[in-house]
Parts: sequence; structure tokens; C-alpha cells
Amino acid sequence: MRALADPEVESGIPNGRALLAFADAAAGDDDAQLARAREALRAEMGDAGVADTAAVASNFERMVRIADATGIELGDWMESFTEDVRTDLSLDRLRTRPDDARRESPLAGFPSAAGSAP
Amino acid sequence: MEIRYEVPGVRDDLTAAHARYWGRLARPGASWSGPERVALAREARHAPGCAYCRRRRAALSPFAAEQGVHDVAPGNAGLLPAPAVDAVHRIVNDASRLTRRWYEQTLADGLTDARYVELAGTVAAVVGIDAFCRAIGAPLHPLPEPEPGAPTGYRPAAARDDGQAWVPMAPFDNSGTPEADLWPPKRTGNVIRALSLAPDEVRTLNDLGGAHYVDHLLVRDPSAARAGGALTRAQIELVAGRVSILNDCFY
Repeated sequence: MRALADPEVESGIPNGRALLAFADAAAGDDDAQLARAREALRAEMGDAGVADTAAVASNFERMVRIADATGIELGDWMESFTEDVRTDLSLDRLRTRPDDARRESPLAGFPSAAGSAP
Repeated sequence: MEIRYEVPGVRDDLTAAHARYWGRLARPGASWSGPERVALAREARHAPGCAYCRRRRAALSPFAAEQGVHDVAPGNAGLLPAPAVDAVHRIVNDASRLTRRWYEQTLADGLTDARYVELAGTVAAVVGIDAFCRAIGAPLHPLPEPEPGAPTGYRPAAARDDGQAWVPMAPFDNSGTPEADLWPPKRTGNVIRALSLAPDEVRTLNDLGGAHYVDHLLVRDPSAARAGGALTRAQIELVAGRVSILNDCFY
């Protein structure tokens, strides 16, 4: 899980480095970097690997905007689903719910507004 | 609506899901006409190049930046109200810094909650499909020709503000409602419910999500992955988690 936040950490997942490099490039705006990451991933996982990874990455470009635009709470159903992950990554230290203070803060989006980093 | 990918490796079900959405994009929705929905898509594509958005994104707070005017997409002049243009640009360019206060001001400026939710779903779907094209190195699909007709005006009778989002949503227990097909009663996350004030946006979300990621009914099953797909579930979640972090997603 720590590999999600720190690319230097080995995920232990097959093709992990190529997948993360492609995810980073797909979320960025450097087309040349994306082309390099795509070819590196293609060399490891083939055309279908590139297409399926692109599908997942682009799915979350969509989903994060839905979550952000509608101001949803995590909710009980998701709280129970993600408990292990949140504990492992100390994510609850960053949360300011239920008063929605983070999302009302003029500094929202900046690390210093979210509290100390884990 | 024909959608094709010349790039090898794209699954047929993914192409079909994109074609279904492109067809729906062209048709009247609940709150926006076909031409308006296509205009929302055009605006979403144009927004990344907006100079005002770029200045605002660089500001410590998007609400502290000097007021300016968005670069409206060519062909969209007069088609979309100003609060809609602002909402599209913010959702595309700076979604993680949206606030409830901004949302409420957007409604006060004249955009209804139903129009806002359909707008958000439309922008998100187009951003997602365009991001897929860019990621595989394919050109963006031409926007569809809008179809005539008025919006249906449909609004779920059971939708309400239950404190789980800024926007009203269909109830968690949706049994016995016309929205019973959107998720199994009492078994879904708020991110699925988020767009349920415009139920067809949830149907789109489920359709695209099933093709891009994992069927929403199977998300909580850690062994669930696409049969015959190129990625294991662990690989899927690695990419999903990384992209979400890079987008500052709290969810």
C-alpha cells in the first residue's frame, strides 16, 4: 500500500513499477513521458496490458471528479470496506470530517491544510 | 453511434461501452437538451487550456485568485449559462478544491441541483473517455451530433439530502423505487449514489465502470477481476489507487 504514495517503495505486485510509471504519466500532462511509459508497459504486458491499464487509470480520472463535485462523505459502507487500508496508511489522521472543514478551507488541497503528513 | 479504436489491445466491451455513452451524450437528458449536453462535453475538452483556470489553479486558494473570465469553447457562445461554464471548468481543472460553499453559490447563481448533477456526470464521463484515448495514444473521438428533443425533467421522487453529500441523492435503501436498478438495496457506496439525482448518470457510471474497472456489484470482492483481462485485481487496485492519489482524491 505504501507504494501508492511513494514510487520508490517496491509494491511486490508483478509489473508494479511499469504500472505506476504509466499511471503517473497518464495522470500528468507530459505527452512524451506518457509515450515512454506506454512503450515500457507494452514491453512488459503487451497491447492488452496497456489498454486495460489505461482503462483503469481513466476510470479514476472520472470517479475522483464525481466524488469531488458532489461532496460525498465516505459513508458507513465504505468506512467498513476501507478500514484496513486507512489504518495501514494512517489516513484517518488527515480527516477532518464530519464538519467538512477541510473542504471549506481556503487552503484546501494543500498539504499544510490537511495536517501533518503520515 | 460508432466508436472504433485502431490501437490494438482494446477490448470489444470497452469500445461498446464508449459507443453507448456517445449515443447517450447526444440525446436529451433529464435536465439538459442534446445540444446542451454536447456543449458541456465540448466545454470539458476546452477547459484544460483556459488561462483563467490556470491562474486560479496556481493560486493558494481558488477563491482568492483575481476574478476573471473563462475561455469558452469555440461554438459554445450563448449555449451554456455562466454558472455551468464555471462548474465545468472547475470540475475538469481543480475538482479537489471544490467546496460546499461554492456549490451552494452555484445554485444561488441559477443552476438547479438536478442540472448540476447531470453536468457533473457528463463532464466526468467525457473526461474519463478522453483520458483513455490519450493514455493509449489514440485520437479523441469526434463529439456526436446532438439529437433534438426536450429534457425529460425526471427527478427521483425519493431523492433527498441525507447529509451524505452536498447534492440530494436517491435513498441508500432504494427498494421499491424506480431507481431500484441502480444498486442493490443498502449495498453501495456514496460514490455510486452521488449522481442519483440524475439516475441515468448512475446507469452510465455503472456501465463505464464495469468496462473500465470492475462491475460495481463485485467491487468489494477482492478476487473479482475481469475474466480474460490483462490485469490481476492487485494490479488494478495499484493503478486505481495511484491515479486517485495523484488527483488528491479523499474518497
